[in-house]
Amino acid sequence: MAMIRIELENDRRRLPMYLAAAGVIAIVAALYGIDRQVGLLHVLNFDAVRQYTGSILQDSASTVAAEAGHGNAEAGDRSASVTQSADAPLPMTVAIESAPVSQGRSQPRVTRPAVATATVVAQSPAESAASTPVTWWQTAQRMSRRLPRGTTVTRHVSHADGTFRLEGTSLSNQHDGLRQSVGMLHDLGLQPTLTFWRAGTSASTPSFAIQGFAGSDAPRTPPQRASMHVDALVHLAQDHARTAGLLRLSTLRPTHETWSPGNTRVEQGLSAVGDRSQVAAFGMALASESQVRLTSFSTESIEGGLLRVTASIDVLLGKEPSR
Amino acid sequence: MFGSGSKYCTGVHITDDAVYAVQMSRRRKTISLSACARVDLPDPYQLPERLAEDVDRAALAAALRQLAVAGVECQRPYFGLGGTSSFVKRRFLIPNSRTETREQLMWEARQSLEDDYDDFVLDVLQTSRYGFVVAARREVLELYGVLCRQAKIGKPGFDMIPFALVNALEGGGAARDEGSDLLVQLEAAQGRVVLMRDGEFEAEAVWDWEDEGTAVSAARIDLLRSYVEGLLDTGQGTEAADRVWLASVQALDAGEHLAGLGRSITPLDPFAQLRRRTSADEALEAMPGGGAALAVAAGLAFRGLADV
Repeated sequence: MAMIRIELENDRRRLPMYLAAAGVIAIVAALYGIDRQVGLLHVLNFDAVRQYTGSILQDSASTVAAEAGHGNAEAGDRSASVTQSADAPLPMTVAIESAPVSQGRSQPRVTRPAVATATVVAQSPAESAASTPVTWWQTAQRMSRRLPRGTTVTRHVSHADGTFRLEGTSLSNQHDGLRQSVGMLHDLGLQPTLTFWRAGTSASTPSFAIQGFAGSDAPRTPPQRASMHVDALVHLAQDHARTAGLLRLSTLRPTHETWSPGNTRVEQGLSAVGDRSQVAAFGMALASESQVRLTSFSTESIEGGLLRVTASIDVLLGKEPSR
Repeated sequence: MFGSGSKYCTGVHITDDAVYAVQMSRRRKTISLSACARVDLPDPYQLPERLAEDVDRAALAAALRQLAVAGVECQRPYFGLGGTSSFVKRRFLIPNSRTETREQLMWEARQSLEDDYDDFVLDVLQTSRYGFVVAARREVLELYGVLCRQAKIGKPGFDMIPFALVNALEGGGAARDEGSDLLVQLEAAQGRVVLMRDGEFEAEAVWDWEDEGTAVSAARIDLLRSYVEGLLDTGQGTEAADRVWLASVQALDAGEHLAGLGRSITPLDPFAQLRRRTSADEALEAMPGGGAALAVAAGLAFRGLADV
């Protein structure tokens, strides 16, 4: 066993720059003073010294800038790859009623990372023992199956308060079937509204949106905790995403909202990419998580038959979080 | 002393109610305990929040100056980081590539911290099983620098408190390369348990006590046991640690209630294998809790000596 030696030096990298600058300034000041008092350095062109020291400072500054630029470029490359795929056009949509087998043929397989969860902060057994109702989430996920065959759903949003929204495209000759499906949803008491529109040219496939209220058995308030570690929410969501095998994880900045005197509601969003089964596993894990509440869950079809999932979880803190 | 070639480092552990300091020296490969002291703080002190307050920082600086009166010099102080000033995150390893693992961990840290990335100083710890991202708030490190200038002591170095505990076990010669070790360090306002497996750091649990007392109550024991059981949970039940080490005064008090969590429960003595100056030995004898109370400070001093 060896001693743990991490380096947490705050100003180690800055020190040489400061020392160099201070040293050069001291030398210049000394030379200037000597020159003024005893005239020893009349032969030395002070402008040349100033230019020389300026070039030293400029060189060292540009070196630091170049190093920083290199690091930024590296990070930029990586983030660019994430952003590019996120903003890429959506050449394919997922046919909701087509057989999963046919989707699977054209769908590149997302490699699953090793399945393991790791949390540095242990949870109290009492916290993990409680179960969370997931019926609302399961109902929402089944909603698209009620639409007629051939309808294409491109976006599906469901919230813990029971509201949902389905967006997609449907040929004109299928609109009657779509209306009938919405009528059935109405009979079930889901208060659906159906909207059609045509984007772009008249030749494009008409789009539709259905929104309604499916009811919810999700907790009305977030789980309350006395305190929470920095990034605990991100940590939890990322662990579930990795366990499900999702890739291209991207976290959003958490939002803080005063819930009641002394209580702060913290909400954390996360998006990732995966196939249908991976997204479903991720959603189920979050919906049944007892430490946090799943507040919204949306899927959007992207290239290669994959889905981009965006989820938000929240928690109620008894005191202001540290970040 | 001129020509002696001895190197010194002082570990400084600031708890809720006191400052513990351990000064060690190293000459060639021999490490000695030069001095140790405890200075009580006038009011309960919560780090790092109160470092930002001028009045509170001045009080802490005064306590640090008291260390010199007690014979502890702080030319190279090392401070332990915990609480909201820092975090340790456990992540996965990329097999057979320490470089790629480091890059991956740093990239994840950047993703996680987003706009706050530049506010943190980061490093990575890799064991045979996991990678850990270690981060500390730059602002807090700077505040420690201000504190040291106020106290007229040397420039600070830093380590994470859980790592200091691991280093204390290693420096005391009690570390083993096989089995599981559990380090229990309890303070008035907070508890901490560190799990080591096969001689390597594996996980840490930190929590705030739910009550505001200082005594080891039944509720505190229950909470402690729940966190320990959480750390030792294998997914198929809770295993007992091979060795439990008590690393603070309150942990010593709680020791008798931890039966069943470990096959052996022992106070951690980080100075077991060190030579000691007579004055340091006397100070240690008079110290409430003995070596266990100084475990974090000793681990910090061991870490600092590794750099000189």
